Amino acid sequence: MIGTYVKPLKSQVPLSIQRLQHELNNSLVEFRNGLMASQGALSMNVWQKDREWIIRIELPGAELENIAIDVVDDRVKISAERQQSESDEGTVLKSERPFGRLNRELELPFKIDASQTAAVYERGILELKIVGLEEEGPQRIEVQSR
Amino acid sequence: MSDQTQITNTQSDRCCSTHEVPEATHRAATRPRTDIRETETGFLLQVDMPGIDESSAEITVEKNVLTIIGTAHLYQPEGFEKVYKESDQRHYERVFRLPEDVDSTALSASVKNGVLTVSIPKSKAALPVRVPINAGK
Repeated sequence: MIGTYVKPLKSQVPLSIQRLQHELNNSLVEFRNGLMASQGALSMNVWQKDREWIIRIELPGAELENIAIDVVDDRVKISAERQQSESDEGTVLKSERPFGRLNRELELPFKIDASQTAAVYERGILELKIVGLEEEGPQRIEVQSR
Repeated sequence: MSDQTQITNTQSDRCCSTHEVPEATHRAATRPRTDIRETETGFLLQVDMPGIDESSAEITVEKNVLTIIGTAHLYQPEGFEKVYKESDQRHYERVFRLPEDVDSTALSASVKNGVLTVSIPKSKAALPVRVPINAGK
């Protein structure tokens, strides 16, 4: 599991502590992912423009049918399975590449419009374009007199 | 960052001896993860290099040193602000020392889904030879 975000306990702790926990958790995940990326592991980059986000993640050697993207509210979960080379002929001298299921989960600051989310897989890189749902503005309640 | 990985077919030291090599470039290089498999007829290298295609990777052999380099040319989305970065530009570099019994003139390579596959055949002298046995008279 790479880069799994653990949600803080919202109900028990004050908002300021929640934010601190969130920051700390994110920076730890970021540090670990950055360290792994420098060693050649899957790495991720994110860009933002208003309610549009672009997420680029390295998934070398994955097949299209083994990549799944699940969107629920404000979270996007990217999972892929890389299978061991189909040829098992000969002797393994070196085995550095990771195999099996790889997951990354992201929490975005808005609800995702799944109908506008698009993904392209090319040259071992998955690129996701995510668009946030239009936020409903504050609604004013009319006060009636009796 | 660069080092040299030995591909060898001797039982005692089957792989992984590394030797420091002077830094070839000033760019931060990623050492791509590699699987090496030995078959009866040769060696097969599978190298993870996401973002590269056949035009952006280069394989050279000089004496018994195989060098794989590649640069992933990834576009930067225009008008977007980067909010999270792990590694957006990749320059891959890895050096392998080939065993003496390979035919370095007959290497072949292909790339698919960001994985470079290099096939290194063994020289004819190194291939196993089956000796026919005749019935005794």
